[in-house]
Amino acid sequence: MNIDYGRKLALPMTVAFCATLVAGVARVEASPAFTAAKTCRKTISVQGRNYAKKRLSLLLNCVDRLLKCEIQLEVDATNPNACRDLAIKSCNARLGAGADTTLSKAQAAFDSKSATACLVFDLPSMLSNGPGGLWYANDAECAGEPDIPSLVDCIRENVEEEVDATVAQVKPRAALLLSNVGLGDEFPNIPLPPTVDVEINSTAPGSGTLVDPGTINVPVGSALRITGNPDLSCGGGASNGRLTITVGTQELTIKEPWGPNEVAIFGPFTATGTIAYSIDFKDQACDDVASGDVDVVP
Amino acid sequence: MNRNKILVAALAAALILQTGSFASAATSKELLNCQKQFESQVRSFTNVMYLRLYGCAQKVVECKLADEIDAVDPTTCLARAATLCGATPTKVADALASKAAKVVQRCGLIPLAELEQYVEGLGFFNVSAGCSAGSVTDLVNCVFADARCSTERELFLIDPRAQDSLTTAGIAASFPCVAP
Repeated sequence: MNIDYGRKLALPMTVAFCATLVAGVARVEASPAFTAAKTCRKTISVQGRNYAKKRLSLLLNCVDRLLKCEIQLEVDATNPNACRDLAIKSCNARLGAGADTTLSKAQAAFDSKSATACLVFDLPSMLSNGPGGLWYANDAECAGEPDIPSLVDCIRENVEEEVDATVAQVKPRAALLLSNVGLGDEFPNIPLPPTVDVEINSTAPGSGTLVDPGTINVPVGSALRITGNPDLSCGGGASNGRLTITVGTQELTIKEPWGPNEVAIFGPFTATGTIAYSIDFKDQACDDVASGDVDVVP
Repeated sequence: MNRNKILVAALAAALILQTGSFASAATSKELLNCQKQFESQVRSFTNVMYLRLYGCAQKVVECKLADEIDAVDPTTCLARAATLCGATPTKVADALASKAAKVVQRCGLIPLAELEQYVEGLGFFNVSAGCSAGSVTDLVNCVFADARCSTERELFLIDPRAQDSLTTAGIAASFPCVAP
């Protein structure tokens, strides 16, 4: 009985032994160069897609939060302040320029994992368009990079352009919403529509009296971009002046210190017509209001 | 069955748009739901598409690299890869149709003009003008087509051999944006 059992086992064991040998030989056949090429390519592909998904998700989620506040204000006249505060805090933590934001960490993870995985394969092989190369020289923007970390960085930046283009298509209000919370400069590939720029000024430095902007003409398809002139500051003390601007159903506030980084962008306006605006200025004891019309013209 | 239901709903939405029989402007909830659905379906579609294309390119390029670096005969390997890749164009087209229909089902309840306007709308004005969209369905198809092309370019940027791999697999013509 025991002998039969042993015979029955003999054939499968032999087959398993041979299979192991064959697998071992097959594994031996893969050269270090092939393994290095596979590892480098696969890591960039997987990490690149992970990063692209993360960036898309972070951007869309942030814009979602911001959009909700604005739509509820515009359609339902709901006070947006609490909603905006939460959304801005969340967006800054995830998309801000700091090294500790979620997006920065995702960028660093792609860069370091990809560069590490490709070190063995080396730069000339990555760029090579010849047999066994990974053909990165086909990417005209990245072909001249001097080392692997720079090449990986360049690939990531190109991927970012595509991701941001998708955000701009799927959420066309993204550029304005991000600009209005100070994140627009971080995402130049989500383009702003054309704008008409209006700077709010006072009749004299510190006078507290606004120069009446009069009727503001904005072409159809353009947005209205409002900033404050530094001469607006009045009353001394802390820099806590603010302009609350209302254009139709939209309302935004910009705060001291005044200048090009503190902007309120309205619209863009897609149909001709007249929309009322008001600008409410408060700083210490200074308090003034200007109002008029935005004429949306062909 | 589900796909039929989606198509019927999409047609109904399109019919409403044609007749223009809307009682009032979209509510904030309708606008936000439409935007959410748009985003969610585009993300889902681009994921499916990328994984399909990446899977195909991966199989092909590994056969070719093994041939180029280790002189391993690629015939069997490429035949297997071609089998895997062959279904990709149909699978991607099906995914696009089904996900776009879901968006039309939700967003078709809102007049195109309200989707186009930025204020009290979703701001698709330039996107819509860019592809001469005459209906919500046109707009949705346009956004999906652009997202599809962006994803194809993304694959090429990440894997510059992808175009060659898809050509070898015989499916490159279905994915023209996998290119420089």
